[in-house]
Amino acid sequence: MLSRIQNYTSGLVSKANLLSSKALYYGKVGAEISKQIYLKEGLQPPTVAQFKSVYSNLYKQSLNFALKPTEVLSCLKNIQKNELLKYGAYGIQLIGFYSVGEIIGRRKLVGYKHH
Amino acid sequence: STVNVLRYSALGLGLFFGFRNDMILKCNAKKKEEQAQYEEKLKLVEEAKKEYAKLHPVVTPKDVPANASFNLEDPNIDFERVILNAVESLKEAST
Repeated sequence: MLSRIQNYTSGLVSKANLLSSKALYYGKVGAEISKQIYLKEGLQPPTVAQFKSVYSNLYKQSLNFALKPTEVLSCLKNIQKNELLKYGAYGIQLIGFYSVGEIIGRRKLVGYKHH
Repeated sequence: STVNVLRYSALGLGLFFGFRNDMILKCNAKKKEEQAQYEEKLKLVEEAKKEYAKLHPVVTPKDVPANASFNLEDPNIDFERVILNAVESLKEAST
């Protein structure tokens, strides 16, 4: 009887050890991957000056396009499949970031608290 | 880079809108609850009024026929009715 209990507990302990080591390993892997992504994608928060320059550039570009609608048309005609895919990916990223921000803002993972 | 700035802008926007929508919903829920409480109170008042009417039925003055004789010594005399009856009878007499 005692030996059986001992066997059972030792098995449980070894299983727990295995599980914890696996969790540690995959946690490290995930952390490394996210670090790599952070570095490769340049995800560090931009400075205020960068914000300013990007938005002023975007404003100028949109003004230019608004003044010359034919240019927009030619641009749209010249767009490549790869570029389209790239911009689509960016759009999906933006949607993801917006969703994450919303989750933080409403302090709840799914749906809103008060209905 | 442009994309990074846009990404962080999206994050900020999401944060702002999530917080704002949360606040709006909170406010609406509070208002609704207050309204519900007020309506409950109103309902209670209505019920109390009904109960009071049941317990103290109002004695409606019976329709006294016009030109009926009246007793001025009566403590429950309805002066309004007496005067109106008198006016009516005067009108009838004049026409």
